[in-house]
Amino acid sequence: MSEVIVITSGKGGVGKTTTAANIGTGLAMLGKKVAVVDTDIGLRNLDVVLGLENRIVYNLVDVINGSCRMKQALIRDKRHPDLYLLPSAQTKDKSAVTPEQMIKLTEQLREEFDFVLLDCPAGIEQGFRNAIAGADKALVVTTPEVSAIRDADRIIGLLEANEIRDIHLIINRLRPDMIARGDMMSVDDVIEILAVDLLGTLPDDEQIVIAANQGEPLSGKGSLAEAEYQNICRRLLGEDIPFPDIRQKKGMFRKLSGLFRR
Amino acid sequence: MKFRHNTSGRSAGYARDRMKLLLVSERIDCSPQMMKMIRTDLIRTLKKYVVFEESQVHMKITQEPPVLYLKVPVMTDQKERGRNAKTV
Repeated sequence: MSEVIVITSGKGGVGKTTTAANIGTGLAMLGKKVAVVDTDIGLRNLDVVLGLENRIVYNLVDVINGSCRMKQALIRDKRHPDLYLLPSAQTKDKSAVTPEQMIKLTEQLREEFDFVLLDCPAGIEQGFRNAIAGADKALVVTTPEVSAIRDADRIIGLLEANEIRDIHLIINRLRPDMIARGDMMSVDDVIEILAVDLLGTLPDDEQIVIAANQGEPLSGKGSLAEAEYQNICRRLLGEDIPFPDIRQKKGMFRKLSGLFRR
Repeated sequence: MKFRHNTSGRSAGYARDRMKLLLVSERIDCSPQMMKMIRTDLIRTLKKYVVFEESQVHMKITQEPPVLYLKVPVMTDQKERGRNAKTV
């Protein structure tokens, strides 16, 4: 049974593409056949994060227009033979595709793959509507900042209005030091505000930048973020993995600050 | 200096409270200002009938489903203030 998952956020720059690349890689490492689809037409980025930018011949718009077959456009990852990228078009704009065409595309991918991950563009316009059209499930990525949280809430509302009820939250760029001194909202704060299920908590990790520079998602470098991306993948496969330290620290801190305030 | 230290170190709680209020009001399409007015009006009405401490009144609106809750701890005598909570 295959699953189509959209990775979205509303706000730009919170880590959607990195998340798509790392979850795609993680699921492939767990033996699943995965397609990651860059749906940001006009501003493609998933290819550079995965280090596959030099191998693009055809793209998503070519497949939709019938200029090529799906197999021709899919690029197999360098390191993981079960991971494929469907790149977005760089020269077209978002109106080149309709939600109906995206549904058809995801149905086609469903036949070949265990997981189809759609990397959604920022914003709530047509690009967003295209990306969510064929999805069964949504992963909302946010950071513990007011702008990202407000946009995430708006996105959750729009997903629900579009009948996507299977929504999970990934909180990115957490800084335990700032949370401990009360200058960053904790995981519990964010969950309380947004009221959706938590799927993963990621620390602010410089390895993410280094990995993107090198064009390879985290693999085998043993960073905190990498370990948590692996946990996220296992949770997606239905395993019950406890949440890491970041959250526990915060739990303790909240209890303390709670006592303080009473 | 001391003041600066105090404001940092509390910004997360401030952000959390702002966000809670803002997102609820956006979801039910009712501005924070309007919510303040609802609270003031309700307090004024209730004051005609029961005695309570205005600062103890807690209003909240849940998202799913959207329900307006108003918690008014009613005072029965001075020593019991705050203990006898009554939800309206």
